[in-house]
Amino acid sequence: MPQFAQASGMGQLTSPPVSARDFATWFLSEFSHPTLSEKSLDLLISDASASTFSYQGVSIPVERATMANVEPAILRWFDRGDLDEDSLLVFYFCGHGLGRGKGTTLLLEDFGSRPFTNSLKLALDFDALLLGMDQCKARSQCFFVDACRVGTAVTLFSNNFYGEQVVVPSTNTVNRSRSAPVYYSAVPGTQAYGDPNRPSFFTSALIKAFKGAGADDHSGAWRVDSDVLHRGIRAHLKRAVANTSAQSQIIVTDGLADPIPLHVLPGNPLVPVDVSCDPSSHNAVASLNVKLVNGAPRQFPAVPKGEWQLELEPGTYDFGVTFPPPPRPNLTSVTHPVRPPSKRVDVPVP
Amino acid sequence: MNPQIGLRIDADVVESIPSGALVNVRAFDERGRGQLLHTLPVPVSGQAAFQTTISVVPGVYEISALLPSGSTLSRIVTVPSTSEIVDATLKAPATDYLWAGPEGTVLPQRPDLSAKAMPGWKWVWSLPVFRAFPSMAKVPALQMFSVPTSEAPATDPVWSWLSQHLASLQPDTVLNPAHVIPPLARTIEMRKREKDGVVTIEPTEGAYRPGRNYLLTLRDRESFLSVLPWPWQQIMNGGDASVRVVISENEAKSPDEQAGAHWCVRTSVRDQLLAGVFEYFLSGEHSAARSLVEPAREMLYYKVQNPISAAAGAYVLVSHWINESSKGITSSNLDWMTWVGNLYHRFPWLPDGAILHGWLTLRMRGRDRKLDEARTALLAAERRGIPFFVPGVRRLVDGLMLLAGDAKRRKQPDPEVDAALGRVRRLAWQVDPAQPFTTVRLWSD
Repeated sequence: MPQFAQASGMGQLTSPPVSARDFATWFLSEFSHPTLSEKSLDLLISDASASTFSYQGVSIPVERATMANVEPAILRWFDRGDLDEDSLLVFYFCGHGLGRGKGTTLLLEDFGSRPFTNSLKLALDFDALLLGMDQCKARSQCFFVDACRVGTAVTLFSNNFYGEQVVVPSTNTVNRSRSAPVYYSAVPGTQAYGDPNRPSFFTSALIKAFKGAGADDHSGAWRVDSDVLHRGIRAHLKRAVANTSAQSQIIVTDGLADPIPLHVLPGNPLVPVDVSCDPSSHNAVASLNVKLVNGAPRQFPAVPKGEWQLELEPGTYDFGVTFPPPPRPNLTSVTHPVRPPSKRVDVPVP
Repeated sequence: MNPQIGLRIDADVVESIPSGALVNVRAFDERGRGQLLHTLPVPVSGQAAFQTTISVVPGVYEISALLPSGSTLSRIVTVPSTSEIVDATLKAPATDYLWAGPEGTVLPQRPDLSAKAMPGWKWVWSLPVFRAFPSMAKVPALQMFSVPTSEAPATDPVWSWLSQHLASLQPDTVLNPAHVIPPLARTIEMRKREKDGVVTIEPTEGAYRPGRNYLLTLRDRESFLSVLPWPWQQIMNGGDASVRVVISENEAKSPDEQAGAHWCVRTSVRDQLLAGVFEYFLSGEHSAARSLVEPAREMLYYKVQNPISAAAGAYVLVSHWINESSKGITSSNLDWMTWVGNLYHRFPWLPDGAILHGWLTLRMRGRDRKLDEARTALLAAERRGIPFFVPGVRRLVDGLMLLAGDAKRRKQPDPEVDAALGRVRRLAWQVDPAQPFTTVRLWSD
């Protein structure tokens, strides 16, 4: 039974286990680095219902994300990265977080099982961990933090303890520079959101960004680099939270100074394209016609609310609309190139 | 003569910003594959005359820019083999930009600001002029004060009080934020006037006093302390730049009462060099550093005219150097390192100079490794008070954390470093990390 129930007013979340499984599944099935051929995964999940992970029809037991399990897992991860400076380390966390300003603390399953500030012994001081990981030889490190970043009394009045560092920072860092982008699902002082029992908005946006919006073809093949990924996540997250109570959720990224390659797409990317009539009141009546130049036309029915949210492969497209009878005169289409990270198209309707 | 592409972000801003946004220029080959040619700062302006041009060969190009709000603008242009300038202006959506960091709060800077157009927004403005609106009834209480640097004790008195109280803060503590004003501070008198529904608050004539200037904002039992980079002399074209503090409702809805401040306070400087891309950098968009090295050198060089601006330049240079040198890229033109040392030694009231010198010495390798000197500089920085720039808060925390970690590993605790780290980590939790200049959220009871 999770220990987390109602610690400092925070209840057990149902979205993080789903999110973690989705990200792990994507990582195992699709993740493809341009130069690294081997990959390994250490997965810890706190789920009220099951402690297993199913992949390709096989159910695998997973450890629970308690401090007793997470600390050795992080140290194992460090050791694997320490074998080769060309390795890429990926850290993904989805769950409760505390944070404000320049501070972030990540809470583990058993947080709340001890009284008041003692529970911070069961949390990660993420800022220190991030700094400490500079001692690991792997020079490419990538962190995804899908968690709220609001402060509570526990952290604000905790006598200068922000969680366990696990890897204590040191000035003895590796001489070659580290690229360590950190993708936070929320700006400090705000929350991250997800629907119950479904992947969080951030994790959904992250996986979709890896499938296209975060890609670029500057090296020939469509590839996701750390800087472009950031833009792809933004595009999908903005779309996911639009018209929801979570629309204030915005990702923020640190450490993008030196982009690193993360993933090569097997084919063309899918680019989020939002299309609307101008004025948008026609969206509920008109049909949308989309035609790739020299390609076959596709038609999309009217949308009762909002606008058309498409996912298209890169190319130059004609966008036009048609109305039910009687015919409307002077309708014209517009031509727009579509490339990652995203595209917005307004089709004028006289 | 090669044809050219004219680049600009067309936005409805009050003043043109020469380096307002970073633009990527990508060339396409016959198979439609893109290749990144340039990443360069371009002007943000409503006037077509403000334009950056680049020479290109005839072909098809994609021009794209990431706005501080997170939106991406892009367009494709075809450049013919004539020697004309092909206009590739990118139009920013009217409600979708903010030239002061990526936090995402949307603030279009329209010249026709009015209470009706922007309900709920307040402005404080300084040249030195503070302007607030929409109505005087909602204007927060503002107190501007100056701490004379010539009389300041070894530890900055504002920081001394603040750090002591942040460290002992408890859930039921109620403190009077006005106590952050030390006895030796001089209050800067301000006056209010109202015209056309706009309330202007400005220091009275001759109110300026030399020293570190702060603005205390109080409203509805919430309070913010802003480090004011005022006065600010521009090194490009001379003259004072306007220093502006925007006080706005916090759009982030948080049910957490401890985090639920209803207001945020943001300081910016309308310096021709600092505005735009520089603010990107200072707000955390470090990919902008490479394009800022030359103006940053310029800013640091003129440290006597404006030491705060010099510190901004030094943040760029130190960050760029740490990144490049550890990749084995060396530059023979490192005279600016001496200038950082001068910034540390000659301006003992400036925490940022000490932080930057501390990081330079922390990151020196081999024979040049001077950890004791780094420790001295970082401890001095903490005593000097609240850094002017938010990246300084991060650098100070990280630098002290590295030194504390070393001591912990040696099993020889360094109480002085531990204590300083404890104080600045508290500060780090109270600042808005997406702003260039430091504003500390005090507390709401």
